[in-house]
Amino acid sequence: MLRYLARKLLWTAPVLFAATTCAFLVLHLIPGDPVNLMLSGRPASEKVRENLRAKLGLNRPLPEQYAHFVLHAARGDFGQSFATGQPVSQVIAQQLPASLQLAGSGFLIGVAGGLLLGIAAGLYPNTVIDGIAMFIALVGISMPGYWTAMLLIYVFGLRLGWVPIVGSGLPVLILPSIVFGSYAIGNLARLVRSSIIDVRGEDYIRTARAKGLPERRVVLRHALRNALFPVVAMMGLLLGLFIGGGVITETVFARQGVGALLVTSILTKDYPVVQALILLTTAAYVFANVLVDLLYGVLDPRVRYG
Amino acid sequence: MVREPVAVPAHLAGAPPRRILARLARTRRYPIATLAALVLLLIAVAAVLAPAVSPYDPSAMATGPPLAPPGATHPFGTDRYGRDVLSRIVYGARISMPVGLLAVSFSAVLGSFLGLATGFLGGRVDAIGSGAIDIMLGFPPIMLALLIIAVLGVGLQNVVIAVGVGGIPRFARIVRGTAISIRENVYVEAGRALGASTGRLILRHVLPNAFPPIVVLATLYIGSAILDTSSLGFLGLGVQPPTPEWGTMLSEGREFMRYAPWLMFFPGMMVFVTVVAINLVGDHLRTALDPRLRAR
Repeated sequence: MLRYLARKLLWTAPVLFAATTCAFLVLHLIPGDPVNLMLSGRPASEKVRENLRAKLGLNRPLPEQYAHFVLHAARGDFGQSFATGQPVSQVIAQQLPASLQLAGSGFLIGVAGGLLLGIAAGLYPNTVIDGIAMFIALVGISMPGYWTAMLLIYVFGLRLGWVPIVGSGLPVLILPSIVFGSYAIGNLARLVRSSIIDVRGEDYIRTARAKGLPERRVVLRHALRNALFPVVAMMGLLLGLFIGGGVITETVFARQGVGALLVTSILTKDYPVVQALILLTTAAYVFANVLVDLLYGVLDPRVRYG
Repeated sequence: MVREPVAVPAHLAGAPPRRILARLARTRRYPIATLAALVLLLIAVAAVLAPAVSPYDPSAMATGPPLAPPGATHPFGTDRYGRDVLSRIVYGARISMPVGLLAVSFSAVLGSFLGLATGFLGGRVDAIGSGAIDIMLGFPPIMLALLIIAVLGVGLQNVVIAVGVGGIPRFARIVRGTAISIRENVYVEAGRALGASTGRLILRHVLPNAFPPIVVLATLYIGSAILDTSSLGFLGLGVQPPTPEWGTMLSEGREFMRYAPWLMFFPGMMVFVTVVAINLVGDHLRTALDPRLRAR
């Protein structure tokens, strides 16, 4: 198990290195002088510009700048936002709770919905139930999330007035969570369905039936349990979808959050914030994937020793 | 944002083109996929013939009263400048369809190249190439796209690259697997024995046989590429107004949602219909090419 863990952690190193390098290079690859962005068009003397350049460290050789960036990033210091002058870590920390709240409730809806549809379809393949479940999955995969969101806002928020669309508290979270969850429901449902169908063809299912186990027990103890393993393995994929979903959902509902912050920072060219968010999101994604792999390894020993 | 199609099994790799065509020809038994293909054809034709079929110039202002609801003269209504929404949607197909196709071509070509090189050559090339694939897969797909937009800026060309990049490692992974399985075939060995160069072996023997999985993956990816393009447009990070891109139009219509919901309804509807149709065709293609799935 330790070797498995070590192998997985080793894999994170090149990805984190690549993410750090990409984030670092953002500021250097953009056309134009970052100092102009800091000044946002205001005229400034050459001396002021020189000072700003020194403050950003742009006057030092590139490797030194890189080392500086990595060392400070490791301590959570990403410099100051061009837009507000606040420390970047503070700007992000302010947005984080709203994002986590949305991610938590949306994840529950997405996973519950996907499992429900997938299990229903997988247990009764090629029936009306399967047809309906897979139709919902197809719609989920093909609906643009922002459109789903706007339809929901229009119907339930504006026309029917059932849910508030601005303000705070739990009711405001309902529609965004549904939209956030919808990013994974379709994919998850398809995955679960095909996994269940695969498992039901296995020998041990026939054995379980042959030894006279009641069908309910065969399904619950043998089929579902084994069918959900590959689904755990695909969780990383769902996380990727959720990150995309978060960016869209926060923007369309005009919510606070890290995803909305990223979009605004790109639009306003607030590059220190962009750098930090790219690095942090990728790091979170990478480590979440390691956790998923570990969980998979715990559940299924074949993976660990394979 | 990137939707992950299920991998195409390697045993399909060897299916000769004629058999594939024969399988696809059984479309009469699949009315839904046929209908979806017809819808796509209709959208494509409308895009090509946009100047002839759209009732107004898409950028002409005041073709009617601003924010007019759908009616006889403006079937999809007008926007705040009095531009005809239907005409803009028809012209929008000229953006969304080619951008989707170009982005997928971008990922398919680069990904296939990477996949063929790593899978067929093996050894050190494979070690380095696979490492690169793994690293790219380590990024959340949307981060790659946003990273590129952050560096290159917004605009049509950059959207193609941003949307395409996320697909590269996914194509590469599948093509690599296929190339490895093809490499072991006798006809490759025979070709090598006859003195064929590596390049020729890849082009003449491996690539044609790796085609079915690439085509299926590409079809399914066009849908997600169109979704991603419109999402970037919606976020203001993609195609910029006044270009009538569907996602961009939707974002423009957002502030009038309460009074003119048609501004957000029809562009979103178009993205949805197009992507559903593509996914249905893609799913059918996958099932048709995979006997294992067909049996179900």
